[in-house]
Amino acid sequence: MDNRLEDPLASVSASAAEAVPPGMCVTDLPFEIILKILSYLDLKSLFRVGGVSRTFYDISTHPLLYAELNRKPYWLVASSELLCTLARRATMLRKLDLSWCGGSNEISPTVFKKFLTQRGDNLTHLRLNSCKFLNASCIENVGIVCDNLIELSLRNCATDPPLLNFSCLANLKNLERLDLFQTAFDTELLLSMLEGNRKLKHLNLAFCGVSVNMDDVADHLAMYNTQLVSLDLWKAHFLSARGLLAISRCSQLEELDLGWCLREASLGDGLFQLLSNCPKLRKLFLSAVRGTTERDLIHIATLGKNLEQLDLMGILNITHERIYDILVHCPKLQLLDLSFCENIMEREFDVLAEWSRQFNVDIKSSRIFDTR
Amino acid sequence: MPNIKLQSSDEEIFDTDIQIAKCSGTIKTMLEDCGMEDDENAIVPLPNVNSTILRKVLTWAHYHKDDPQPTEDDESKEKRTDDIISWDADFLKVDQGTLFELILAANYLDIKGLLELTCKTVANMIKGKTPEEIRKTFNIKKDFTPAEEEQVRKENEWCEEK
Repeated sequence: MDNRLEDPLASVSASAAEAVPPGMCVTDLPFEIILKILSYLDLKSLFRVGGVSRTFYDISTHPLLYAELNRKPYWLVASSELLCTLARRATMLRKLDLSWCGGSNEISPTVFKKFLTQRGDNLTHLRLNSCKFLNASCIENVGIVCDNLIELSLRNCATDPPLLNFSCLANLKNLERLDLFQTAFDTELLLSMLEGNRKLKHLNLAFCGVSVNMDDVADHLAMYNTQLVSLDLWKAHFLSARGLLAISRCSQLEELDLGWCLREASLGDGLFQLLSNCPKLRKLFLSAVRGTTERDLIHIATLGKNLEQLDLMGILNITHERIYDILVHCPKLQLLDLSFCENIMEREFDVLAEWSRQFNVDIKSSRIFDTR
Repeated sequence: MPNIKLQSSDEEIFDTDIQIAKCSGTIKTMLEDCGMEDDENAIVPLPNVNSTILRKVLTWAHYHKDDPQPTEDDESKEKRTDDIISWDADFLKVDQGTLFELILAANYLDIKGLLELTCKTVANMIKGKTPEEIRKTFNIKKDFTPAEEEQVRKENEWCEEK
């Protein structure tokens, strides 16, 4: 019975296979599977596969494939026309990265504003780093339309005119990440944004405009943003010992960069408070924080149990005993930067190399006196 | 180790280690919902998978039996296609028909790892190719009307080979 059934079936399937040589075709796959395949493609390949046939065009223009748009890899070819095409397809847009795009006027501010008006209301992540086409009115549109933003990145965005009118950004209330690296802005606006975005976790104000007083920022952080996880004030102007004390109230901090920002001769017990109140601290950058004393280094050794990276670049008067202390007591330490710490370099260079092996910590240093 | 019998669409029986069979979400649910786990003689019918494909699927599942379970929240993960291990790459040196049947089987049997691997493999066959090269690769005919073709040409101007 079985044999009689099997034989004719086998011959049927064999002849069917001969009639259509390659067997199944890619277009025989169900819609949702082709969609999944296309979800692995970069934007360029996605557009090209749309040029293959009607079926592929229809699937390749599906909104699900345009929920996250990263045009940074295509900054050279980015244009207003492409932005218009994407506006039609990206009806479910959540994340948009246009960093570096529109350098030589290929993107007009008008087209960008239209795009935002059409597609901005569901955006959760927006990165416009180094976008030369941005003007005050573009930023205003972001504030008005994109009120669901969780992440806003405007690095290196204020060249000409020097101070953008960011006032509409005060509308944003859900930010968890705000990156204003090297972007000038108004103090009052920043403070009102800090007050409005209580869920803020990551703030980057490195190299930002001269007009902002970091002590005021620190006071606001201590009052409204105690959920803060990372704070970058590298080369911001300026933080005092009082500001450091305020920052130490953000007890969830894991990463803190105070390089070139904390210039006072004495830090009081600011570092002690910081290390006591923020036990999760993993990365601490104190480049050129010259007020760091021997007592502060003892506190780092005794309290910095979770430190993985410690930057003491350019701090004078560090003794090799304190360094040994830190190496012994901070078991998670991976990177220790001692560049330009004159006091150590002169005497203990070989010892440092030995400690680096012994404690399995990458120790950066510079033998500045020997190279003269 | 307890075994289970899987039956392909062409009625071949595959005596399979139950742990390997359970990498398929579909089989796992069937076994658990029907209380077949303790029944040595139970037969799980798989009417959508033929014996050639099922044999390949089981070979793959056997090799990957100790893989960690893929996590659910991988939507946010970057979509990479250059992370295929060499065993998998060799395993998928098959004709396109077999590859597509494997995709359908992985989808029907709900084997996440195999579905991702096979879809990535097809994506890699598309990446970096011009539309004409893609048509050649998959034996597809261009069926645009002149108006449609003009629209596609305009939209794709930015990614044409210069």
